[in-house]
Amino acid sequence: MPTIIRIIKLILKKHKRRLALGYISVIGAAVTALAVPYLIGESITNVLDSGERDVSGLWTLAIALLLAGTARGLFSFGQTFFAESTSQKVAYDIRNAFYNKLQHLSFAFHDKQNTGDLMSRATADVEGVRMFINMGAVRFGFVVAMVIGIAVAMLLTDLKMGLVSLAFVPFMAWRAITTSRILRKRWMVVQVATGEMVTTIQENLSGMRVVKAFAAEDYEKSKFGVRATAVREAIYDAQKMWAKNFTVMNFAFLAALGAILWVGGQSVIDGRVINEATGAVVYNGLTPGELTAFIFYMGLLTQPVRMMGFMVNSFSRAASSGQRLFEILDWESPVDEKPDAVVMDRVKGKVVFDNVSLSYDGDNDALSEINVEVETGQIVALVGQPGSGKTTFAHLIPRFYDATEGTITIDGIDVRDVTLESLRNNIGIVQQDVFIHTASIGENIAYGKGDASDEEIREVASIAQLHEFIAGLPDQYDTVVGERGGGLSGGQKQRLAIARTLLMNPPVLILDDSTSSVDAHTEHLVQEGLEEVMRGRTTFVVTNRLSAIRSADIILVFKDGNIDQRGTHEELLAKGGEYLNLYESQLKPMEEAAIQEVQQSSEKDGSD
Amino acid sequence: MTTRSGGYGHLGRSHLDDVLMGNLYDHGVVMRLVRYALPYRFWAIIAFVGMMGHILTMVAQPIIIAWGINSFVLGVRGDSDAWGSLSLVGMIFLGNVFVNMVFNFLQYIALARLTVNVLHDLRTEMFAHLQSQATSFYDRNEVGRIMSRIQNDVHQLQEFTDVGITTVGDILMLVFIGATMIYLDPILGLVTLSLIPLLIITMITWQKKSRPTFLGVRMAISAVNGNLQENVSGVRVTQSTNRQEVNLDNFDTLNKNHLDMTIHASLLSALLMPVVETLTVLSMGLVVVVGGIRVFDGALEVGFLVAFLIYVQRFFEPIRMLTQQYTMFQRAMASGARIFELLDIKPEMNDKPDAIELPLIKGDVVFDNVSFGYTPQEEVLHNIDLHIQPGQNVALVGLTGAGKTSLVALMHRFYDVTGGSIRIDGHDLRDVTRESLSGQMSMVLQEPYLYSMSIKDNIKYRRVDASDEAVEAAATAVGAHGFIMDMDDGYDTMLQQRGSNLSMGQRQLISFARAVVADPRIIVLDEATASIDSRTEKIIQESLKAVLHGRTAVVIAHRLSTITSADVIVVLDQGRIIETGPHEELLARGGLYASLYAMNFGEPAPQFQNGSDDQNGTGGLRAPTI
Ligand SMILES: Nc1ncnc2c1ncn2[C@@H]1O[C@H](COP(=O)(O)OP(=O)(O)OP(=O)(O)O)[C@@H](O)[C@H]1O
Ligand SMILES: Nc1ncnc2c1ncn2[C@@H]1O[C@H](COP(=O)(O)OP(=O)(O)OP(=O)(O)O)[C@@H](O)[C@H]1O
Ligand SMILES: [Mg+2]
Repeated sequence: MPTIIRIIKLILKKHKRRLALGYISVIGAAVTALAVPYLIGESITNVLDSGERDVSGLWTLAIALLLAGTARGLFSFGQTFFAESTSQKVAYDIRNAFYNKLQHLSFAFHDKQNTGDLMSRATADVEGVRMFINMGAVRFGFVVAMVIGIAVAMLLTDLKMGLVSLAFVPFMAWRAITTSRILRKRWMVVQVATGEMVTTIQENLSGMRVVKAFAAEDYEKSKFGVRATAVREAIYDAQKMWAKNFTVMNFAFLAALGAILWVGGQSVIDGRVINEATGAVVYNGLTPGELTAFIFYMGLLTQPVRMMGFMVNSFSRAASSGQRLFEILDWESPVDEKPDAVVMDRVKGKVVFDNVSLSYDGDNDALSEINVEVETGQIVALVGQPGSGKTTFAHLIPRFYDATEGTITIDGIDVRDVTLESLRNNIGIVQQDVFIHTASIGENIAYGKGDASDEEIREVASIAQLHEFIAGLPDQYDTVVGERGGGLSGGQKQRLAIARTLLMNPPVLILDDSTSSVDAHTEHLVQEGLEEVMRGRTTFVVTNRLSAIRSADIILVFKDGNIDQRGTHEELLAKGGEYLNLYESQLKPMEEAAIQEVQQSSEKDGSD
Repeated sequence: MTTRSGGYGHLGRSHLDDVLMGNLYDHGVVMRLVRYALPYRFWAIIAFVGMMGHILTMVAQPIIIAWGINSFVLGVRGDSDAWGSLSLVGMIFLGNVFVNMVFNFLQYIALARLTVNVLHDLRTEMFAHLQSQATSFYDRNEVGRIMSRIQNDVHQLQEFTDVGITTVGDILMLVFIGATMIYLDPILGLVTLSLIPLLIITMITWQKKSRPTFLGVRMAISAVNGNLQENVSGVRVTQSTNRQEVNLDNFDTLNKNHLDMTIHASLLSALLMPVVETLTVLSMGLVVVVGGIRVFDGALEVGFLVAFLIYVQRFFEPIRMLTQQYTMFQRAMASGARIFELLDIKPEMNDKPDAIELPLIKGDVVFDNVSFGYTPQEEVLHNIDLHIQPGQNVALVGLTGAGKTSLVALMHRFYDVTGGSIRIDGHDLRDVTRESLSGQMSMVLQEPYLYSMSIKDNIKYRRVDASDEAVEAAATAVGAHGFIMDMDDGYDTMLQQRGSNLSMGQRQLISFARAVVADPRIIVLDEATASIDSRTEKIIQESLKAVLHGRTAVVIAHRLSTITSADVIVVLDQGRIIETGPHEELLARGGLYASLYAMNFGEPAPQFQNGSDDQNGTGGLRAPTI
């Protein structure tokens, strides 16, 4: 119920006028609709008025019918149009709000949410709410107006008959309410089952190469089969429930029609007096015309009764859909701006971690009590085992997550005191998990800076060693790359991500394992290019290649969420321990030998 | 680059062309749907019986009313006959209503059973069909677009079958009512029906006018959803590049466009209301005048006049419904067409009809003059000749974009070669079934893709029946056991989408363990340890030696410390093999490999020049092709 009230508030907030017009049409439509049974009743009375052959009276009534009907048509037009357009406008508002909310919810939210599920909220649930506004909010007015109008008309015509005909209305109302509760639960089941099925499909399609690599088609089919069957049964259950309700309601309505015929007919017979002399018939009770009118009032009730079924449905759906939408819209982003957040100007780049801890799940620390001080312009290398906390460390600087404890400052300013936008404008990060949009390469590079000139784009592409590859493509920068970078090799994707970040020209740069799929030669070229642009910037480099580490001013060796060792390459080598291990496993054995061999061979080459 | 700001999410070089709006009735689509219904003809028959029962009882009701009215309007007060007939009429009417309810219920239940089954089968078939599509299909078609077919289009059909089939009932009802009216009083009947042509003309004109708008609505909403989908997937990039506002602007443009379209569409559909309404009362007016005159003339009983009026009311009610369902029909036909279009796409790499089961292989792989390109215009691999001995450990090395991933993809038959052939144990890959081939090969992909299931289930992905010990052994071999046990739920820890609650290196290890558990004859590691530090890697290598023993292994790595011990190192450059040999030999040769090797620890070779784009092959990096 609170969900429904919120939806109604949404309508009232911006679309009062449209809603009011809708209601005016609703009332107009109800009133004019009521005229039709009355006029039909009159026609029958006219026809029955024995002896007189009043054809002109019939014409008058026919024209009156035409007028009433046409008026009703126009009002129905208004009702349909305003109901539909209001619902579309609200859907538009919700979609925008939903979209924007998702953009601003922090990583912790998106870690846990499935794309498929979010999409189903944005499509099916928005539609559920929209249908309710259309069917429930506006047309509900129509149903109420019609039921009241018909009730009044009937009771005024004949009290006893009116009561008989309306006896089924409370029954309907009761059914509508009880069914709504059960239906709502059933639709929830459908939605949940559908969500699971969609997730299965989504994962299957996104991971198709894994499926192919392992010939897991049959396994996937059986996984899908379970989900699809659950959906099938859930939908069937809901539909069965709905059908039961619908047919019972329909039955009640038709039975009432029977009651009118029976009771009303009796009433006509009881009140009929035949003048023996003239043969004229006088009706002291109900007249046959009125009886006909009753039948048509009942006929008129079909529409609202039928709609009641739909409405109960839309009501339940909206309650569950609305709940799912508001759940997201109300989600408090774990990372949020303070109300008094200030704009951070372009920083120099002194980054300090003061006793910082972070836990993803509230129990285990992914980082514990980290203290780091990085001066402007320094290059910091982060190394360590998988899962040791390097990415976590990097993600704290642009506030993708908030530290559970401790503070992070840039140029002495707590990152939590500034607006997210200004903070992130100061920090460029190339994430470990590269995401490329379905768009041209040029558009992808310019993603963070829509107004970049072609020269700027070319320049960063050159630094990332991508320009020559792009220049060799038939469509060059206009080449469209597929989803998640389809059509690019692993290393090309990474370099595209580097170019994208460089274009933002940030004073603090973070490269999270950004050249892991790039060969040493190209990596070297990228580094050379970067050195040029990095001058004066503070840089964090997560890497597993010691070649990239040696030039760092500080090396942080991560282990199980702690900084195990820190210092320069030489210092750490001298200290021994973790870093030395790392060094030896990768470089030491090959270092001298390799240099020797290369020098030898180059001499050979040179003599060719 | 002029369209930089807009259009994300809907750019296509797509194979699946979207038919957006169908005809009102598409015979091909309907007939194919009927085929899916055949297995459930029992329910179809019940539904039909229910429908007919419903229609006939509905059509009978006005006649019962007419009978009632006639019998007591014309009856005499106090006449027990009149009383008797009225009670009888009342009872019969109630009986009719009850029977009507039963039939109606039968109809709905049987329909529900029928349609959920048909749609379920359709969905299942689509899913199965998608599994049989080649990798190149997925290169061309975005996941979102395929999703929309299996999700929205099937949903569209669901709606259609829910309401559409009752429409068939409505149409039947029209026929029965029309026939009854003509039977009861031919003149009055024809007068009433005379308005039908008018209605049909109006409908046809209206649909011509409204078609583009409804088409526009469909295109607009798919653009909206495509944009949203991509935004959700790429939200981390959005936040790190501060693009929220631009994105919202773009989205708002699409959303607004959709809104305008729908409002226009709602105007159009609402326009039909007054037309149908006016025709209804026009026809009632005609019945009143003509019918009244006929009553005066003694040609018609009053009860039947009432019955006629009821018929007119019931006649136009379905028509009113039909106008509302009109666009749904068109959408459903288009959806059906799209679904069948998808189902009709032949998998590019079906097994040959006479494909054989690849017997248990030794792991002897031959690339015989292989060429390959993703598109016909651009060849990525040129004339590759390579012989990998059973049990050999081969390393692939080369500059980024050289074609290493492509080469192993061919070996796994993700794609078919465009020239030459690949043979495993003497069998051309194209002559064996894909199942028997993939069953003996495992691949650790460059980008680890994990499912939102438990870690254990992820590792068991290929061998669902693997024992817990086997899972643990594999995890231990790749060095993942330690961190898995550190997690609260150990192997039962649930992974989030794409494994996002693990670090990248951890994801690579799980994906590695998954390949090991599969117990393949040939294992391919495509930068399987790129995000793993060299110390951890070294530890893994020791234990892996045992695991890889006796299997053919192809390893791609940029960090050359990973592969120094390989039996053969193959160096690829721009799609050609330029060097092969063991580590020492290649070092001594002083070519590309030696340069890369030197650079691995940050010391460029002295004569170092730009290698990757050096077309003439004169740079120090270029070695003579072997
Ligand atoms: N699906 C695809 N469609 C079209 N072109 C592709 C596709 N995949 C890769 N390419 C192109 O083919 C070439 C070779 O790519 P491949 O992925 O084989 O390189 P790689 O040697 O594995 O590189 P890396 O070391 O960067 O992973 C690249 O130029 C790439 O752009
Ligand atoms: N989104 C998340 N939710 C929950 N736990 C997480 C999440 N991301 C990482 N973790 C856990 O936090 C720890 C640190 O992970 P992090 O990604 O920082 O490692 P890393 O040092 O970057 O490793 P790698 O070298 O593999 O990238 C790991 O144990 C990982 O499982
Ligand atoms: Mg990481």
